[in-house]
Amino acid sequence: MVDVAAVDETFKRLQSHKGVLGIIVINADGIAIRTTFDNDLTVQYAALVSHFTVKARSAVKKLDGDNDLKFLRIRSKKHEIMIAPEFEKSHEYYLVVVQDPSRDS
Amino acid sequence: MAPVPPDFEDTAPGDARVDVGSTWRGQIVNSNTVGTETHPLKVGEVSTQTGSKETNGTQTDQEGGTASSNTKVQTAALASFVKSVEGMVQSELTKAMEEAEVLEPFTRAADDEQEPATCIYYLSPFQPDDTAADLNATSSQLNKHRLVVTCVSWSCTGQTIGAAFGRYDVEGWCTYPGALCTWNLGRETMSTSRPDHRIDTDTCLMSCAFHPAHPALVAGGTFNGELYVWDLSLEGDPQRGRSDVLLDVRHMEPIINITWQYSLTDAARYGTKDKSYRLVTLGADGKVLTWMWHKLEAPIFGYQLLFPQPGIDRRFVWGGACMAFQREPRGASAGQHGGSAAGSGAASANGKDAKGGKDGKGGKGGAKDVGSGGSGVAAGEAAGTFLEFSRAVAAGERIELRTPVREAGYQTHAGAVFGLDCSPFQRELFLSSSTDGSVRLYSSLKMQPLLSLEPTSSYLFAVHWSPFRPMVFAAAAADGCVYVYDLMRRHEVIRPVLTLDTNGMRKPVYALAFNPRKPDMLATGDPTGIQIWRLPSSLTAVRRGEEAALRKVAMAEDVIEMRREERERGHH
Repeated sequence: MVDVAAVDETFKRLQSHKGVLGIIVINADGIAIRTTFDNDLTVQYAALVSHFTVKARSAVKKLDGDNDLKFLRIRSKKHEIMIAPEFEKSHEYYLVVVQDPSRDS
Repeated sequence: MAPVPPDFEDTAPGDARVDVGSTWRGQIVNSNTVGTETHPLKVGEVSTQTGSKETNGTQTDQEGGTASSNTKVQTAALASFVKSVEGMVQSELTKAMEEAEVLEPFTRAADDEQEPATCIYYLSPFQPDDTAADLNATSSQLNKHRLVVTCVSWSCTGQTIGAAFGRYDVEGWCTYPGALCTWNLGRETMSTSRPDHRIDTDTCLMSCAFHPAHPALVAGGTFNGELYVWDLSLEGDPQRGRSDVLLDVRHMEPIINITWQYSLTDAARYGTKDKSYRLVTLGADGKVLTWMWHKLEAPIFGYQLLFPQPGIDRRFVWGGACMAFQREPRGASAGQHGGSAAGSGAASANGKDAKGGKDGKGGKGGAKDVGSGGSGVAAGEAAGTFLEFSRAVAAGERIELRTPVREAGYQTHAGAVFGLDCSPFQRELFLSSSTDGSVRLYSSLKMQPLLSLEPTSSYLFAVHWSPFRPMVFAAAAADGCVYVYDLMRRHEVIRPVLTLDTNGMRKPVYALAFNPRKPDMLATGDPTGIQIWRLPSSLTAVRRGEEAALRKVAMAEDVIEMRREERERGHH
């Protein structure tokens, strides 16, 4: 239970940043295990982002076998989508943060 | 039986009465009342139902205690993962925020998206008092003479805005009182309906100008050609000087424009900053007079604008409609504000005379831009000439005024030219705006305009360069809009980047002034009052290489063509 509280704390800290719209943690199967978005948006993000991250990672690894993907930031017209992945076999997760930098709150 | 049609030959002229029977009354169709009915609707009711129902349930058996331990491991893994990436995500979030702030104007420019300007104040002495202290509002609060804002001017500190109130539609003698109103925007207790100073004049006030170095000195020109200088810091009567109305050499028509010009001679003679400036006034009668503001009894020099006419030896007085002086580019000589000692000006006159041009009909086809060499205080003129002149004026001698017109060959507008402004960054560039609805960019060295823009089909009354952005200018139109252009934009130079709808009622905007100190402030004057606008940052922050780009524009023959070539080169 201490661990759950720690995760919640982290979520709160991230959420307090300017312009953060939502946070999702996705597991290796592309299933969201923790989210602040509503259901539809979460499912969409989870499916699309995990695909994208796997593709990006394979690109990095194919260029150099010893290299690995550390972080992904997608700047779109409206948002910044940040993806922090972890590819360790036992705990493969992606943390997704969506931010709108032009928003004040 | 139809009546026999009258035969006109039957009747004697004495009893000339002929009855003509109606040809249509007999043809009215007979009408009958007939009823009709439908059969009543048939309604049936049928119900249906299923015979039986069945419920099924299913369930999995729980498998030992592995699941709970598994989730424990998972949450632990999750917590450690979240913890490990948190720092990275946080720093990226802050970074993204900072980047977005820095890149914001550029992304807008790239998208050609324009932030709107906001109207921060609406100032007018003729509106219901917002403080609502006195219910029996004085008559001065009602605009019974239907005065309009004829001119706006910022003080040198950029704190105070002054507006001249007068009328453009006066015929013959002016019997309407005018006024000069000033508001200090820096004051905490500023009232938008009650100006800090209100100076009433006998006739309509047609122009005003704040001193470029002294924040309280302001000059005003009236409809009958009188020139005033007021000092707003004086207690009681602020009037410091007034021109003699009976002098032989004076304006006999409204003073259209007042400009303060720096004079090296005066600076050397008086040594004070405020007395280093002379006043140059343009009258609708085509006279350009130079005054010392502290000795307004008589002008120290004067010119008459005479225009050569092709084919005829004689020169004509067309009158004046606007005036602007070339300014020393920034940084060339730090001490000089505005006018250069050897300043040549560009004055302009419209078709027949100023009054005729105002309704747009008189000025048809006759507008001409005229670069007048050495109007104002030319260094070449010996000081002795001035003295002689003023002595002669004082003695009431008849004086032949010289004409300063050097160049009259600029391509003419199709209507009267009411707006003129020289670039503060590039000597030879000047803008003109006309009642034909076009703004043109000229180089004083070329007869053809470098650029011709048509923001609207209505009249344009004023055009001004931004004092901060070399490539930005604004034009005020009779349809109530102010069109702001930015030649730095990569796409669509010919379209205004920003349109300010000042009153929403399509009432003309007669005056326009950029704040000399605060890049984001713009004042506009329309028939109801003045608006103070806050311009978006994209129009106030100087872009890299902007002055170089302006120099390039000055060298070009045709700006649109130049842009096209640039773009094509960019593509290859």
